Amino acid sequence: MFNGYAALASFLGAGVEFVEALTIILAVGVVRGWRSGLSGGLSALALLALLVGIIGAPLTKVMELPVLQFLVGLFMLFFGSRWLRKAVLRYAGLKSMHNEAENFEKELARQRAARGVQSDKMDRVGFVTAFSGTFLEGLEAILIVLAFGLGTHSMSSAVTGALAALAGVALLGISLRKPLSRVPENAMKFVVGLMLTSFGVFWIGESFGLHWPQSDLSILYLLLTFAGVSFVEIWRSQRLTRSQNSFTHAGQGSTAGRKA
Amino acid sequence: MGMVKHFWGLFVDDGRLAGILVATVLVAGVLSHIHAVKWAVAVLWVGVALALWTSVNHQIVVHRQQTAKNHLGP
Repeated sequence: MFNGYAALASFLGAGVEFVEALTIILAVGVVRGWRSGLSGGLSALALLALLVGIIGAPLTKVMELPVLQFLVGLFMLFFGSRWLRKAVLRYAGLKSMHNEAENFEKELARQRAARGVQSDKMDRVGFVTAFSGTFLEGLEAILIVLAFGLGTHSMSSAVTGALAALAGVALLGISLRKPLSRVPENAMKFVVGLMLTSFGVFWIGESFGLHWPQSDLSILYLLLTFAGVSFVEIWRSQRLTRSQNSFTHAGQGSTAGRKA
Repeated sequence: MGMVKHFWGLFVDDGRLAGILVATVLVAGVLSHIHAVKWAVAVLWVGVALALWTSVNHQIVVHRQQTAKNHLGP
């Protein structure tokens, strides 16, 4: 049966990672040649698909084991809370927003500075950069897909969501031929971070044999709790920044007045 | 080694957050083991919220101190 929650979560989580991988492939393609960029990216995707098949399929058969529930829950909690924390810091103004256009420029500069020349033939530096960048970004996507697939007992829905994200990002990349800087990455990471953290806590509790109030609905209550904490911290930080800025401007104003 | 470091970084980039999460899970585990089920649920719920709050709050404090330092100048 199709699980919309798993599909949506995988779509968002994997989508963010594929956008970052696209930036690397585009930069390699522009500087080192499209043959190297695309070959490296596609090779990494093939390897990742193999990993999902090798790891994901057997794991779904043994998901009922408390040890596995605990490990999957722990992974979701640590991975998810990391994403959630970073997204909150960005919204709070304590960390700069992820800028795909800036990353693209940095990667372009890195590729130009690397040894070797642009060529229509396979360029080793370009291939390795595209392969390793896509593999590492894709690895996070795969971990999200596996986590939601196992957590919801619906691996096919999670994989479908990730494939839809891959298709969407690939189509946009081919048609636009530039980094997808307008994708609301921070919002997506915030939502996925909330979902992963809530699910992770729930699964850890399940592995301990705990009884959550109202069973599966507790995941929603957990999500609302962590969302509430996040919004309060964002509001608090923005308020403190505003008051600090007005204090600074007042100080500068009085200094200017004394000088006059 | 770089790959190991990158993989580790996927899960832990703030020691404060990771430390409180580990403590929360351990305490909840112990409580569930001694059949204090409701307390274990509460510890997990509150502990994770507290970990997030503490981690972000620390960054707010650091940011304020840095801003105050920049305002005062050398």
